[in-house]
Amino acid sequence: MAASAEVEVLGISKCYFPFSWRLGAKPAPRAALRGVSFNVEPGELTALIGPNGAGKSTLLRILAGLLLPSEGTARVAQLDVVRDRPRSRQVIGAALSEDRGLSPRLTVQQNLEFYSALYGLSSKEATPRIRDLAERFEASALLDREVRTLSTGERARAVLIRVLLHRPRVVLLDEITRSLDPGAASRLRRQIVAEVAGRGAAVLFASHDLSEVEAIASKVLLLSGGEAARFGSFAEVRADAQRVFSASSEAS
Amino acid sequence: MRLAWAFIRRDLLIAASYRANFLFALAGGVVTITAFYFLAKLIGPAPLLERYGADYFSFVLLGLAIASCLRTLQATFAQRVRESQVDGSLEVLLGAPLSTFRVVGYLAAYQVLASILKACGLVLLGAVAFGARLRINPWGFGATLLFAALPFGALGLLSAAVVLVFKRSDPITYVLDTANYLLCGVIYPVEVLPPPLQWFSKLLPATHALAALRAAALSSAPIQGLLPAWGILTAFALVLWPTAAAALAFARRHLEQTGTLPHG
Repeated sequence: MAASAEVEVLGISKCYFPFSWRLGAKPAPRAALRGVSFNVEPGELTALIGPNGAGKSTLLRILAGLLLPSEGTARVAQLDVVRDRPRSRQVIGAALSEDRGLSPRLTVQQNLEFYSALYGLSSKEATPRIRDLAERFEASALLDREVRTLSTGERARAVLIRVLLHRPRVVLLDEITRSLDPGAASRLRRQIVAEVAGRGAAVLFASHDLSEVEAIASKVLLLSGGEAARFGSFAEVRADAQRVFSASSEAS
Repeated sequence: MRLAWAFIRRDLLIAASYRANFLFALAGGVVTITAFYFLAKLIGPAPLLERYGADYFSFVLLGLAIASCLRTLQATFAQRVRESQVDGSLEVLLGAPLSTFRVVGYLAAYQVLASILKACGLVLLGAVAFGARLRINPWGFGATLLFAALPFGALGLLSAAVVLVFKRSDPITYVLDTANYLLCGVIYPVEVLPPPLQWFSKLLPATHALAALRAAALSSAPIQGLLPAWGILTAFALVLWPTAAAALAFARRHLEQTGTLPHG
């Protein structure tokens, strides 16, 4: 692993052990990840791709410090995601699947002020940051609106601002453009490239959309059945990705 | 403190956005007081309450106000955890660089403060509008409330740990709430219970908290008279806090191992 890597994943495995109330029953464990290793450099946008159940969200949750790996180690900004918790979570900004962290009845500004405090920012530090990020994400007009009045695209931008408030060195995004129309998705992708990776953060994002991955990812990790099937540039991974996705759609 | 204030401010803003709910909660308290005021008139002077130095209305007003505060402490942590599980914000909160203990604690901070304010408001209303006779030792009452909060806060965190793991079930709050209202002297004195139940009631912290808080509020009991109750409540706290801390740590580990944190 490179010493400068912001994300270092070494032999990560995750097994789930289903519980059964039946006496003597021992349901078989389910492996969500098997020996996955890779790294992400500062300013690099790495895409996690793979069919449903490939282990993308599991991997992101392990890195976010919300899930314990069964084996292996993972470090973010030189901090072990298990041993150095909760400190490791300070350097991470995460929008995981179905992110509903914003309170619908509060304005975007009120939500962002709350999350600033959670990450130890004083209101003196938070106010200009919120204003600056809102400008960069073309969301200044959203700040005074209640979250429940936002469209899906506007909400995605508000979530992204929340993720970036404390200037994380590692950003984890789980299908953040999933529910967006093509125009809004493309705009958000451009903003992620320019405002997140462009400012030196290491970005790891899960996606099903190969055109999105081709457009913005500098590297791609293809997961299949919990294993790292391929890691490299999109051109290197494309053929295997198409094979894995078509095998998955035939199986379903 | 800044962090606690951030949670309190957020929850206050959310509560204020549900104006009708706030008004109904207030009206509910007034209706309860009124009902007990007329019930007290029906009962008249009760010899069993002489040792409390109060009539039935003052006795029950204090009992309901204190029980409501203690119940909030005992139930709110679990309720707030459950709400956050359902609205999906729990995962985001636990993804922040804070311990589970602090997140769960701060989640309940607003509700606990609101409950104390509501209880004080009801007692004040009872005294001013319904003539409840209070002879408060304010320092003794405040300190006893703090000592009472210790075991009940721990019980609340223990319930929250159960909800983190089992999601919908909160047997601790249900069992203790029922036991408190039945056995600990909320709406009738413990002395009316059969001797075995009176003995059993002494095993519950609410009995000691209610007795001491009533003594401080109804007969202006001096600090020396409250010391035994403070000792008992501290003993409960010494057992319950490490248990609650261990339960929360276990619950967090369970969530992280099973991947059930995002599950509602």
